[in-house]
Amino acid sequence: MSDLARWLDRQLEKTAPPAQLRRSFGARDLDLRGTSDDELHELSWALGEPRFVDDVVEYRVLGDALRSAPVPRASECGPYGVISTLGGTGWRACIDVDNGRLLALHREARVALSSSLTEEPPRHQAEFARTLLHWLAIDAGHLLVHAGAVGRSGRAVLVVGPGGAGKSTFVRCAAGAGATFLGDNAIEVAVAGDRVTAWGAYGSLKVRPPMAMAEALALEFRAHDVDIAKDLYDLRNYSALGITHEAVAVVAASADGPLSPEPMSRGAALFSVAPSTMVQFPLYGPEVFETCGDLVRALDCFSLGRLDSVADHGRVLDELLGS
Amino acid sequence: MAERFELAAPEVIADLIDDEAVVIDLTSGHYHRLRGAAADVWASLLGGANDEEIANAATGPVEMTSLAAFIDVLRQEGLIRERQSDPISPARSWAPGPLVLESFDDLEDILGIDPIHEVDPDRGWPNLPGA
Repeated sequence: MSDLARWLDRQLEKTAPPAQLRRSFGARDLDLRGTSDDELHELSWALGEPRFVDDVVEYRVLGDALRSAPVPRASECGPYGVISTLGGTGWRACIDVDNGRLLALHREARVALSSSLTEEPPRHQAEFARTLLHWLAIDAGHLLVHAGAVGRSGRAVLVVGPGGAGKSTFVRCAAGAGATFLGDNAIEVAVAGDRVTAWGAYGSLKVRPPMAMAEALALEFRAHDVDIAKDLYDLRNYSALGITHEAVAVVAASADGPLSPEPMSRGAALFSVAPSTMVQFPLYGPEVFETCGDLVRALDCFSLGRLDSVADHGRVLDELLGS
Repeated sequence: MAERFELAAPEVIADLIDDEAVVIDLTSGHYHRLRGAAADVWASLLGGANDEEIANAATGPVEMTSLAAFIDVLRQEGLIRERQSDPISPARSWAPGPLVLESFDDLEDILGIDPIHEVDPDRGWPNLPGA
């Protein structure tokens, strides 16, 4: 067993920090443990109310304690800082290549350990512990799709496309038209035959300023992230985080697409979904690609251009999800 | 005897849905799209049909030099290799048309990096050495 695995085992045996806050986290709840309630509230602002009493993962914020962990150099780590020497130990761990922060998950105990997050950039808080969400989704046989999503009456539509294609615009305007917001960038899905279940994880929206409709929709501004030149908004008032939806359609957004949803081939939809989702799971490429194929086979697939108004989005939602 | 081919797995993964193929080369990080006649030929090649059998399965006249050139592109891109396995499926019926491999490299830095040998020694993945 590696030095790091033994070191992590010792941390796991210690008592969890005293402050506790439970939040939904995709298709499960996250039981946050830290030194203060304020810290936990600040870190998890983008997560929703707890929903899953039978499926809870513990997340311990251990401050600087993890800075003394015997971690390998960044150059010895795999994609996204994944530490590849922990096979067979029950642990999965990575080092954030930007700040050296350690994140570890014991897969059987379902306890995650993390370094202090006090200097976390705004975009990371807007998608809190996204690496952990990827791991938990994979372990559950699910997939975190690079997509936005909105829902209505328990049914959802996924919106895919490259950066700048209009995913955030679609979900923002759809929320303005009365749909529930599931996310603008990362949606957890489970594919079983022709049934696709979807869960939102983050009630946050990242957009390049200036953002149209921020006032009209009464969106709460959270922060500006200098590195990605985007404003971050809190959309939890419009969100259905942790609530199970049945995804029925996938829309490939593009600037020059049609102004009403037009059927597109599943091959074209796979082309829109798979590459950008695969780069999020660099160690699981073939599995992710296969699941993306299952996903588009199970859904109705459409192309759609950039629409101008909330009313237009309401009309499109009626077509896709029923009125 | 004309050559037979198979997918260059596991480095290359592919899916064929609704007569359109998506092919991803996990080594180069390039991803590709084949539509229409190109997807039909791709499916027949992966099934083990050779160029003569593919041409014979066409519903119209086939320019053999174009077909051979297309197969050569697929082979040069490393997407197919000489067939190792025996089972062979009949070539699928297809309507001759443009044989185009649409290739994209915008994600190659992330999809294709060898995380052990090609990363910057100090900064780690996904930073390339000297970048």
